[in-house]
Amino acid sequence: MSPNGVATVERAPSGPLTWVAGADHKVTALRTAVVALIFFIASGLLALLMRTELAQPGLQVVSEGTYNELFTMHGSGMIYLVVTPLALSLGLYFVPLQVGAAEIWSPRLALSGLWLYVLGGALMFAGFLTDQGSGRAGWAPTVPLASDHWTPGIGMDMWVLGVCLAVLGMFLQGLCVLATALRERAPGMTLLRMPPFTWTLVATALMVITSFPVLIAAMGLLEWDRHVSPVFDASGGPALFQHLFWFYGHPVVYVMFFPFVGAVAEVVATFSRRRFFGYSLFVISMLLFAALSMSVWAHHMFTTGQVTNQYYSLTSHALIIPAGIEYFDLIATMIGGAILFRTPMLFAIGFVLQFLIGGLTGIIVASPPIDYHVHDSFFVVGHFHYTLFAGSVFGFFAAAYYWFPKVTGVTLREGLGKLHFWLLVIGTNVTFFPMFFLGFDGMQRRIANYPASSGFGDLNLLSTIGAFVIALAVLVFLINLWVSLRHREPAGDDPWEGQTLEWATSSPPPRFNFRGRLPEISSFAPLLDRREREAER
Amino acid sequence: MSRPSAVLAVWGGMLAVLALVLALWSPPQYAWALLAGAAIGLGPLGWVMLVPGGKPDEPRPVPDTSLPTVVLSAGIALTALGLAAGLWLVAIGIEILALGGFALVRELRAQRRARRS
Repeated sequence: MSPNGVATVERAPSGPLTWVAGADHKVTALRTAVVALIFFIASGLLALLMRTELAQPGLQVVSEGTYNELFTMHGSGMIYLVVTPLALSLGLYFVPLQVGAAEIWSPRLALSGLWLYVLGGALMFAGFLTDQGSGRAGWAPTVPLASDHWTPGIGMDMWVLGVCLAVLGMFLQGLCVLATALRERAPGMTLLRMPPFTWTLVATALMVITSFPVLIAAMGLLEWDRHVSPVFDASGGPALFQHLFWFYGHPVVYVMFFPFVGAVAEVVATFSRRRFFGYSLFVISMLLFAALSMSVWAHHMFTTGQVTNQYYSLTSHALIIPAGIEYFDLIATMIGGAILFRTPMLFAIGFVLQFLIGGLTGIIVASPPIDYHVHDSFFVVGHFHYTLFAGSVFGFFAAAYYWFPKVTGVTLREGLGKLHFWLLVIGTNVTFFPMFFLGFDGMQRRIANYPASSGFGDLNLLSTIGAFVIALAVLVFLINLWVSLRHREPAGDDPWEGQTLEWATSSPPPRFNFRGRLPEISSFAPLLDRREREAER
Repeated sequence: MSRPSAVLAVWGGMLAVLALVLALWSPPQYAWALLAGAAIGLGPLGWVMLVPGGKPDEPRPVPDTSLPTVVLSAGIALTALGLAAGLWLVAIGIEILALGGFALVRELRAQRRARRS
């Protein structure tokens, strides 16, 4: 029996069976993250191919058909198989620890989620091995382009079904995270004592359980449309499909964002040596942010002329309020703090500054008149890469450097970490900032070539150079992982003087997370409370 | 906000309000039905998460490994792939699904016995 009320059925497992069927939430989360990193490298290599193709007009490194496959698999790989699973894997690992639970709610569902995700992802990528190639209708497919008539072949079917499976897997993991936060909390851990990171996961999981089933239904209907009988070919059918898709497609942007806001909040508080500022307002703003983000989906459809632009523009602009509150809280936490510029903090600051560019350009595309100008252009590509890469991926690296000692018991090398950070900052901005100018000047997205007379060549070359700098930065990160795990420097249980419960257990944590009694929980930062009490004595 | 159900109620309430505001613009019915449906769908999901199972303080057995869960997931994936590849694969997928389901029931029964003891 574990100290917090969980008994095990079988003997503690070891060997290959654990790798395949281990149900410990930490093992499941770690495998989800490792698989996501493998898909990250695969999808990133596709991006390098695309950038090479666009470096100069007329290169034709790949055919136009192959280019369609590349941008489809890069986008869908990153959205369905990388950032969403990375975000949820953080929740799967740390939410039980932060709320003082011995296990996650329903470890079998979480394990099932992992395997559905792995098999779904493998199915999507296996499409490359088929005669007509992989899915090639974009990560956000439209009808009739995605129909069997315009995109025939089993590779596209494998893509549709793979997306269904991967999203179902993530739905199950989201459900487990939410139920853990709501019903597996340790005595004393009330809802309003849950750490900011856990609250961001609650908001994330609420979006997951309400929006992901709609995508699964949409993809099921698309497959039915492709092979059984037409579903979307009636008048209004293509718009209906877009509604169904974007009802998932916009909230998922926040699913890929909120957990990293939470991680950055933990990092900022810990490395500022201060209690997180404005906790209650932060919790309210997260829930408001999540709800509003469920109501903005059709701003992706302004130019179709079939949606009520006023409503979706209004709700999209309203997102500024909760986003502003979160920025205010993060900055106010830093003010007056004794800031330590360690690698996790650098990535957290990078996240805050760079996501701002993504957010501000989001306001531009939330205005229908401007969206009509930049829709389907490289401006939009720049915008969402600033949110998802310059924002979320930086947030992930902040979390990775911060929690790596807890997960493995060793710290990542600081020097390599800082090199990784600066290379990534340079690469990110050199790659994505030129896209705003390209898009505003009229360069369309999803094209394999452009005329030399367009004048887009120089900025595209710059963007391609930046993409290779990003690849170099990722290589430095992988080297850091290798070196740190090979030549281990023990980190101790609490190397950063953390504030939340995961730092009260050993590194890595035992099977049921905690040995002995938990510290007294009187706020969302119980370890900081304990240090303050000890300082007063 | 002290009860877990309050989180779901607040969330559902916010979605319902946003659906009502959207309805003022007379959009296609399915647009606001998506939002309203999401709010209503929280009912069964909330029940699944919050109602079954023992009390929070009660000791509960959890598995260290669960091979049947993996087999079941593989069955689902093969059945799905079979929808594109052919009925033969659907048949294999369903067999694996059944095998996984049977083994999972055995595992759950063993778990229940462990809880009683």
